[in-house]
Amino acid sequence: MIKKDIIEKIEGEADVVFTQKNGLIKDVNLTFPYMRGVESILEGRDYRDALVIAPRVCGICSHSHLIAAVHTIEDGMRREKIKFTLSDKARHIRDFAIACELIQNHIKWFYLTILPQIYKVNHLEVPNDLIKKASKATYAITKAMAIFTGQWPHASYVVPGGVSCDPSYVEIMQAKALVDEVLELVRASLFDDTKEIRAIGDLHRALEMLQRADLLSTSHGSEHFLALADTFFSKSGEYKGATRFDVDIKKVKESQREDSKAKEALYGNDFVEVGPLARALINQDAIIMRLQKEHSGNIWSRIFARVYEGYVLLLKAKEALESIDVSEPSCVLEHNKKDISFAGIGIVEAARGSLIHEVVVKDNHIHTYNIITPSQWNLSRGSADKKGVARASVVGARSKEEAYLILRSFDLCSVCTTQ
Amino acid sequence: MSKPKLLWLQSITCNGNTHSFFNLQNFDALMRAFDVLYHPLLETPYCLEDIYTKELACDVLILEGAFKSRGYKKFGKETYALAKKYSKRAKYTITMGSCATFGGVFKEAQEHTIAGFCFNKEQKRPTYKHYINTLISLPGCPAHPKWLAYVLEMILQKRKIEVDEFYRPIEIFAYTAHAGCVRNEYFEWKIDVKNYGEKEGCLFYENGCRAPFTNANCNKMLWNDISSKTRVGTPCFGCTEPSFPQRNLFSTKTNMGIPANMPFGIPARAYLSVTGVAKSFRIKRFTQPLMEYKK
Repeated sequence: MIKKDIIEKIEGEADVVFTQKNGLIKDVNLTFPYMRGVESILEGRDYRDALVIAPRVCGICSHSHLIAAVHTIEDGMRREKIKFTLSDKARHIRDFAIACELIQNHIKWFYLTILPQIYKVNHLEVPNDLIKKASKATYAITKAMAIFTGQWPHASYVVPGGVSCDPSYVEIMQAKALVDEVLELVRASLFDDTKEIRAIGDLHRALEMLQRADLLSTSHGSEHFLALADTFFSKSGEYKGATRFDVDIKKVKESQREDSKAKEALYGNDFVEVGPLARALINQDAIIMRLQKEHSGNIWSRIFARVYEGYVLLLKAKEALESIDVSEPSCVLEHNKKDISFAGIGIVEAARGSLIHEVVVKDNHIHTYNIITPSQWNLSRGSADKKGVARASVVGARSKEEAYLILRSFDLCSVCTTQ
Repeated sequence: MSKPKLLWLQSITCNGNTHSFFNLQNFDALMRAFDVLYHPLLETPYCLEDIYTKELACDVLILEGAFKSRGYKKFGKETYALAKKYSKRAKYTITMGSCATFGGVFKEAQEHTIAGFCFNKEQKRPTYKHYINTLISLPGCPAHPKWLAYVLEMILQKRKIEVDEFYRPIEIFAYTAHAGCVRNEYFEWKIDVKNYGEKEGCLFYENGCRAPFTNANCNKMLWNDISSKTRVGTPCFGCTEPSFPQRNLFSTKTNMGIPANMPFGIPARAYLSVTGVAKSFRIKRFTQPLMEYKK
């Protein structure tokens, strides 16, 4: 039996076709009928315009696209020996903002995307206080970020060689108080970290409901993970069969699908899972490694890993703030050449996984721009024998709602996919 | 009394206005004052298919994203036609963001077929007259959360919202983004920034800042209740204006060394006279760092 549907509230929508047999989902196909064309909008523009246009790919991870864009330019400059120095201060400010945006993503995803769907699978009414919880944390963490970025979403405060802001300790004090506010919310309703870290409140409730819906006995995961960027909070790597390998960017491939506007992303010839679970496994995080062993790649380890990464990033955000020395320069760009040409690649770990931007600039103008987004990795379709990650994970699901829960655990981002 | 029915409908968008509005401090309380039929993030009583295929009553229609006349379909129906249908029924149509208002960033990909709901950049669309009686424009990339909160609050209070020629609320858009900028003294004395990442200097002369000729109260209301682009040393890109996004966003366009765009309402002759006077003085305070850290 074939059933057509639309999966919605995934930062946009995707067309879905389910194949069912004896009440079980046999296969799923997600397609995107429209592309907005951000790459083509960028072509022909001054390369610095990418710092304004690229964030507009996505309203929820605009800052990741901004950082990817600036990495792309800085990589190109480095290759052309155009001199710039990134001060520790600029690096800490960027890292702080990266942490804030990821935290915002993870909290919204948990309270607005995953938890309501878990209630639905259990045929329970979705409590009406989830929005308020997400809203309080989002308000505080985006405010903390805006102290340095000017606004969120769609800030453009990074420039090649640093950041445009020049905070004093007065600003840093305000940011710290806001991070503490979010940490307090997280400690009240997600984690007890007084001894060893433990799920409480809403996160524990999620686990109970997954057990109740019998979602912990089957695997809904993959065995092949990837994180392409080295960051202040995670290492790059490929994780396969419980072993970590170094990554090689040359193995990244992109291919056009016939039935969808979204392109597929492959590593070598393989479909890989990207995102917080991938990062935690590659970093050999003891808590997540234990969980993965216990629940072998099922939905709970993916959910826990993501919320847990939010918690870890709150601590990292505080560290970044405390490391800022305001007397250092914010931006050091020493070149004064009028027209520059370069080719560069920028990789970041966005909330949903590895994000790549690539640019070729000729005489200050963007010749080509290419973007590979995290959801492209998880959503690659593959073939009947070799299914993509999200596709493979829903095989065997007992209902449409269950399949949607599994798909939402990857946090598909439609707007990124249809950049 | 029943709550006003609110419908949030998206077209070609990045979701930036949805997420911007979610930053509102009293988001939850304000949303509870409405019967929310559909919203891109929240659990709602209707799914997208209902919105496209059923005949629902709606009081407040919020549009996000740019419109393609033909070729942006869901459930076999054109999104632009659907927006027009709901707009005819609604007591208020709010275009949230520059895409829905003027075409914005996504218009750049297909200039001739994509536009805002009632405006194509600064031009009125042919069908515009059918919707203007209920139209409120909130341009911005994204629009500030409090701009929408203000409009919704005015609707709840049954107050009249005064608007300008683009149907933007004057209580928000009568200001320029320049008003309240902490770099105003440097603007007055014509001192530009030396490098990015410094507290001193104005971004208008070299770095492309469009704040003096951009309608918005960003530096009065502040983003995320705390900051703004110019406060963190980023030029204003004029994202609330019909012309957004311009090209060469980090450079000021000049004619013979004079900024091509004057601050709103200032004749070039007046600007040049004031500039000549200001530049003839050397103000020592402005040649020094605002604050110095002793090593």
